Amino acid sequence: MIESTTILAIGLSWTCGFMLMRAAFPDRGDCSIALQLGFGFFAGMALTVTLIAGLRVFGLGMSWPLIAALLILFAVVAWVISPSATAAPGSSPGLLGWLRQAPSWQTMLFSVLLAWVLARLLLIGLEAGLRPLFPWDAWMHWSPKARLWIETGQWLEFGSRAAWLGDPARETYTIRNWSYPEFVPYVQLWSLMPLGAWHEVAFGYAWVALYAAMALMVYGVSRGLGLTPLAAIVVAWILVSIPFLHVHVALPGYADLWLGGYVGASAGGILLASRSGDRRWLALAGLMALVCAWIKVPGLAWMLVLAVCAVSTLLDSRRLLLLAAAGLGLLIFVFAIGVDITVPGLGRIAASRSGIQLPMIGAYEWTYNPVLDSVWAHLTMSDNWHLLWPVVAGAWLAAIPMLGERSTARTAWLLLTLGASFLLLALLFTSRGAELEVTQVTHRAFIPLAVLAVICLPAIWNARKGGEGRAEFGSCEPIPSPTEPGAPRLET
Amino acid sequence: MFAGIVVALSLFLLIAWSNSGRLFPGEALRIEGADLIPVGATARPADGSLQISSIVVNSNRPVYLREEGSAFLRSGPLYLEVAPYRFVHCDCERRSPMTRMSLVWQQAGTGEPSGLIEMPFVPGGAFVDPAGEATWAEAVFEIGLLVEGPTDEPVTVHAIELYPDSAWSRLRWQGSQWLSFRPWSHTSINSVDMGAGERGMPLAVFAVTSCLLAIAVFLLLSVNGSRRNRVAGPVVIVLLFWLVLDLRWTGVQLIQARVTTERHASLDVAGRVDLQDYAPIVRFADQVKAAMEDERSVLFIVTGNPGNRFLMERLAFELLPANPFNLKNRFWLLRRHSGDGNYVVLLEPPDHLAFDADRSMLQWPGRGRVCAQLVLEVEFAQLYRICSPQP
Repeated sequence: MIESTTILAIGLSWTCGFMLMRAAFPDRGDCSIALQLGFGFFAGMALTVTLIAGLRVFGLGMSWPLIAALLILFAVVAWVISPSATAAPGSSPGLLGWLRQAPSWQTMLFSVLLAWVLARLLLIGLEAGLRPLFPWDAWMHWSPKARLWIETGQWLEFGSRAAWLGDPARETYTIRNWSYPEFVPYVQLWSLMPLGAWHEVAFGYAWVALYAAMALMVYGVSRGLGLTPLAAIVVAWILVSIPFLHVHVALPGYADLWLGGYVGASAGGILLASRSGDRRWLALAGLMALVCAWIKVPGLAWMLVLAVCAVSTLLDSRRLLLLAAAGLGLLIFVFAIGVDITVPGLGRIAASRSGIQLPMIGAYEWTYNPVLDSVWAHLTMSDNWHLLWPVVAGAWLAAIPMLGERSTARTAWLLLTLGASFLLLALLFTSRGAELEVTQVTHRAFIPLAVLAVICLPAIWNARKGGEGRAEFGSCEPIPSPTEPGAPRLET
Repeated sequence: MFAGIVVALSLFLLIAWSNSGRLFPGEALRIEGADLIPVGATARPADGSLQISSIVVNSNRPVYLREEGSAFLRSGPLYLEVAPYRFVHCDCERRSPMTRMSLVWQQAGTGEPSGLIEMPFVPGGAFVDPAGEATWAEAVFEIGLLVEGPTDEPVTVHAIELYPDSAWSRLRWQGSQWLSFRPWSHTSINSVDMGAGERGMPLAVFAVTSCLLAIAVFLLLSVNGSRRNRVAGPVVIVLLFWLVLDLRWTGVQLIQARVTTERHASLDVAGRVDLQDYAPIVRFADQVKAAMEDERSVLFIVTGNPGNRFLMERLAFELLPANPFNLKNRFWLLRRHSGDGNYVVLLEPPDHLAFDADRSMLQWPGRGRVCAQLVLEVEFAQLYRICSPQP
């Protein structure tokens, strides 16, 4: 009893995104196909949600055929304008060549891990595809809007409780977090638009597709960073084996994994740009980072983290240090003197020694929360992450000696450092963190960092073993090695 | 890798030996399953075991949740000094992890069980450590098992075994914790806890310790090895430990998948929803929507038990596309904000709430009254239609 029209809707978005990625990055090989498929899902879903939001903004009805036709149109145009890809003479042979030439134990291990990843996706799909809407915040925050819209076929508005009580006509609806970003409700709406009704199970199919796309993206990025197919499938296996990510797909409904997916996609783009010098990846990373702010409120902070890291790929180490020093100086100045301005159309921006207020993020007081022990215990002593955090800590330390010389490792290190700093700052030093122990947010807050960390591991590993700057055997062929004559390079 | 595990296990045993003072336990105290007295269960003794075929419906369970069974398996009166016994092993077989079992015991002078510890679902039966409970002390006058869950899932209890503290007992208990399985719960989305909970050594900590030891052993043995091997070796060791953890997680998830498939695969969506704990809430919401004149009517939710957020919030979601507004227990706001034709759902209405059908008046003493007509009533909720003029 699989809802095939829901799969069709998700598949349409994915195909459109794949075609767009193929037009933007017209290369062949397992690496390119994995990148096109992986990033294609994120691009396609972002495009779909944008189109749906466009219908709402322009006061148009909820038309599934219109959105589907537009996606098909985009896909066809992308296919027509996509230049035909040919393998460059002498380029590395890709997955098939690797399978022919690699030692048999490696090809066997590759097959086993690939089967493991597929089996895991099947297992998760089974769970998500059978169980009705289960987790608490899903039916309290993330699904009510989608359910109301799909059941009435109208773009009904949600407002605060005060606004609801103050509206004698009672035309608005209200839920506790009525102002949450609407990307995830739109994804659910899109999944159910062909059905025209709320469906307790099919709403969650998109989470399974998201997980599959994340695995493809991680494989593609790992290959693009120079890892062999075997090493890349190990990284993909690491991602899909993390229990807490598994839970968020098996019990779909929360927005955290979507934020993790887009943070990971943006980080992957930044790392690929850092290695290849290809600014198209930087542009794609920017788009993915923008979507982060549309998924959850913390996504705005993640967008800033990713933006800083994206800029860092354009700078050499000396300029980066200067920028970091200037940024730090500015922060100290701002918090010492205090800033309080109101930007028209955006809202109040205030920062002082007592707290901070940012548009869309909210107002928080600075306060020390003695929760470091709790965070540490959550991350290292629970069953949620396997060995991820000790491994990431080791990789982070291993990258320090390479900061001055390796641009990709440096970018990965910066991504990890800024991502972890943002989370620890929010949890340890803001009034939001004071709610930590009662709201059980620790693991969910770390989902974006976990995905980002898995994507950073191949960058650090490859730089550690000296793979940066030279193409590995079987590495992703379309990305030129920075050491090749004439290869573009972002570092100046 | 194996060297790391062996060294870590040896260390674990050494510490356990040092703390418990014994390597192996003394004689266990065994209460045969056939000697247990079933209360609220259909059961029969067989070969020293007790075979339970069904349990009775638990009348104490909240009525807004799907019905579930409950039964006690009692030892009968006994006098047992529990201080020498640290661990309890339930040698029992549950067909489904949806059946929950807990160890219960009673001290003198108490009418209710004085202690209760949930026994996780583990192949081979669960080990629990009641010694951490304050009431596991001095003399216990009754011991037994509480069985809860589906009414028709078979359970076989071979025996309850009480073991003295020892290094070996601690290892068996720890292993039982590491291999245990818990079905999805509402806390799963925030954190998965497969085993020990608050006590014992988390498997992740044991794995990290073993992994570091294995890497240390590897580096010691490969002092003269190539740099490449000295980097690749630890990476392979880490991946192998990751693999072990993932094998265990996959095993746990296979059990979960079996449970989910067995319960859901043959049903349509409505049937699957009907299996969930919150099914009575969905049924009530459907009745409310059918009774309302307009599916988008304004509907106030008022409750006599504002602490029960699950009931309020889940009902609000299930009532969509009606326009629900949650007043919690602020009944007095109804009069100010509701109008003719609006509806009010009273959840878990307090006993002193009075409805006068002749005068169409709903009154909550001390919190006001409104003009209302009763539309629908179930065990845990009532639906009223607001009328006018207000009294």
